[in-house]
Amino acid sequence: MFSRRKPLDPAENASQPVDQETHPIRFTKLADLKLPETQLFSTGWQGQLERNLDIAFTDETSLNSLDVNCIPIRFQSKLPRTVGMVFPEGFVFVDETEKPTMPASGASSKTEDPAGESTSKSKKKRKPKTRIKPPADLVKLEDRLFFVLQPPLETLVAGAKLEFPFSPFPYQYEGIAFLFPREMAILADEMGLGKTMQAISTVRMLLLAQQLRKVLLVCPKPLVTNWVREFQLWAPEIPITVVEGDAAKRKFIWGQNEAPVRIANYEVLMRDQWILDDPDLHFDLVVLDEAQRIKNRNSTTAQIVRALPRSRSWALTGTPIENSVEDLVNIFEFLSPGYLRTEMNLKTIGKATRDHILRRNKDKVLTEMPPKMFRDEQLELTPAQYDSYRCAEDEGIVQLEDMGEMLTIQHIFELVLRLKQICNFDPATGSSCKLQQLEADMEEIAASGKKAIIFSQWVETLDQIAAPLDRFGPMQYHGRIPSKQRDGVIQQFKEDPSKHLILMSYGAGSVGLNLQFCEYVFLFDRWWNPAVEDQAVNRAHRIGAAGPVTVTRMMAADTIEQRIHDVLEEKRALFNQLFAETGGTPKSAGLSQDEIFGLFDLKTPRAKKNAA
Amino acid sequence: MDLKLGFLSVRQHTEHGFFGGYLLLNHLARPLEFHCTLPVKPTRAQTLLYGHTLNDFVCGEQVARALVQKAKVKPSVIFTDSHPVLALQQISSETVFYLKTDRGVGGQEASALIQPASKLPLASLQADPRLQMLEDELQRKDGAEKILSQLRDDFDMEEPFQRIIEALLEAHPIARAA
Repeated sequence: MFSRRKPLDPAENASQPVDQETHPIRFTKLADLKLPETQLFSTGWQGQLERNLDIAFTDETSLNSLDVNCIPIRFQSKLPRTVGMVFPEGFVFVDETEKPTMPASGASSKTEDPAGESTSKSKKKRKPKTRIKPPADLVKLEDRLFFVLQPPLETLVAGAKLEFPFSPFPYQYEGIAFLFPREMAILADEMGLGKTMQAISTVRMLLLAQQLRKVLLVCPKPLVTNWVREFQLWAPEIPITVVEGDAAKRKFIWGQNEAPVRIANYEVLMRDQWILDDPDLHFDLVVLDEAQRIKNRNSTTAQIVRALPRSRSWALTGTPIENSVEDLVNIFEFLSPGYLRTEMNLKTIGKATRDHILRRNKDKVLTEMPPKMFRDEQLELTPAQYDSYRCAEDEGIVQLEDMGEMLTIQHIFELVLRLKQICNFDPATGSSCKLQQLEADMEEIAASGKKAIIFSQWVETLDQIAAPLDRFGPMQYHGRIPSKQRDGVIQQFKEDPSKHLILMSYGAGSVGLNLQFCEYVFLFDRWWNPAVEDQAVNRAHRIGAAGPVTVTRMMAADTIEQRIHDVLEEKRALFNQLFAETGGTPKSAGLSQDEIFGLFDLKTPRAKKNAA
Repeated sequence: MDLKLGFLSVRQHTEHGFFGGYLLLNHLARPLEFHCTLPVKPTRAQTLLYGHTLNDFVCGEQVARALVQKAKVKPSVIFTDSHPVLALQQISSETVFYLKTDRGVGGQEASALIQPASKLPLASLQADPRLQMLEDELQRKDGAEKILSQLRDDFDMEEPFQRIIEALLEAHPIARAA
């Protein structure tokens, strides 16, 4: 739009009078200036100011139809993309139609809630929840989400109304959550923390969730009845079958499918290898109890269990490393052949196994458990023992030295065993510094109505102890007691108040037994390997322990026993340090070949060293 | 009993946008379905035009709507721990409760996932003051309270959100805190 510029009008400007009197500028009349005269000439350009410009005016109404451009902003009509999964219908524990309400977050237990918490909505404390986490080697997202999205174990248990004889400890729930999703796992809790219960409860939940149908549990023969009892306690609705009897009966049992859980001992597996070779036989899960039994890769037992056709493999052991890392490597040969190699260094092994091993010790998880107190009793040999000991050692060392390159570790063992026996009882007179002390200790224990376990590696020694301690009602539990009588022995020892001590061999009594009603443990002589001693001690120091457990380690001063003890303690300290750095916690190791030769200041013969 | 519950959470990541997860449970708290969205980043235009209602639009009308439409199971009620998800109720027939949680879920790893804010007006339920609905939708209150009465007093309604967050972190590792 344009407007025409109006021409200047001098007259208009002239028509505005100026008050010269009041104006701030002093005016002077033009005539008074006496300027020279000026003449005007016409140039023509003033006329242009009067000329009409050639501009066409637009009609004002056209403004209403002005064309305005709009810029559209388009929103995506599509909703965001999603990914999802539907859970399998089979993953249910029990018939849910009977459940009228949502589950509470806590285990259903026959016993009272120890915390005695109110269920008031506003005041209730939130209990810690245990979640199932997917194993690190599970790659597929859907598989991982399957576990991530499961409710806490406490909620699962409460929803399914699974009853436990008593509420599991939080760390036991963690153990179940560890085993539940894993196809290869080692539960390596310290003895007494309830590996059995954790394994049974996980098997129970997996069976009820229809994730398993056929389970084989392999354990040492003396523990079969213990496993049966524990299954009846922790999973009473799960039918179990013990593989036992003559060959025909065993074959029949192997072929049966009615009971989802079979319990067999290692010896039965060896006898029934021909049955287990059946290509149609397959287990959804094989659990090895006391899995250190397969630490020797070339043993028949190890070969047979490795050949068992199975989908999942679990190993239970309180001592995944008894002597060396090779023990652990060989247990992994069962879980996943080739996964570990002996050439791998400790850090690499620690990293590779971290997701597959769960180990807790009592100090960390059972802060309220009664303490375990060790008392190293260094006893002076009786004069008769001393004479016998000196004579035997001096003669023995001379003989060993004379053997030169012919000397083997077996010769050393023989001398050690002979000396240890003398430390227990003098072979000529039967006198014993240890027995004297034990009698004195037992007087006190019996007077206070307590019970004690006495361990020795020799049944003969146990016999020798039994007679002088007859007044304390000694019971015996060792290899010479038939398996069928053993449960009765334990039962009587537990219930009969006149029975104050039980004499056990390390071999028969060190694993699987629950003797938490005993407050005293005596190691009359020492085993080669502290791990075995730990197993023995933990028969008494375990969940449900009545009170503090006092462990008396009897040692004859200035003898081979003292020397073995010192070497083992040194190694124990070293292992603790080593595994604390790599994340694992095995803490016990036996004597190496060099250390055994060193007990008598002998050097390992070169030939033996090369062979070792 | 055929009670089915939906738990829907939308979290915001400062760099990658909004992440939504939807978990459907049966009456025993066992999972039936799970769905999650890919990260959603609002455009510049959406940011300008929706202004302070942007979160309501993205969380409620986009993410939550997509998730609910995708699920085969139709829940009796949907719980959310994300305030703007209540906008879903304005465009659908679902009954949505906002559960104001007082604890962080997902631990340190989820610290980069924050709760998106909203100014949608809320009204608390008498039955459980922790649960809130849109003020305009209170007419649905009676039916919703009837459903809630079937839950036990000590049923932990916050716990499923922890599962959702952990699942989101599994599905979207980029959402983990550095």
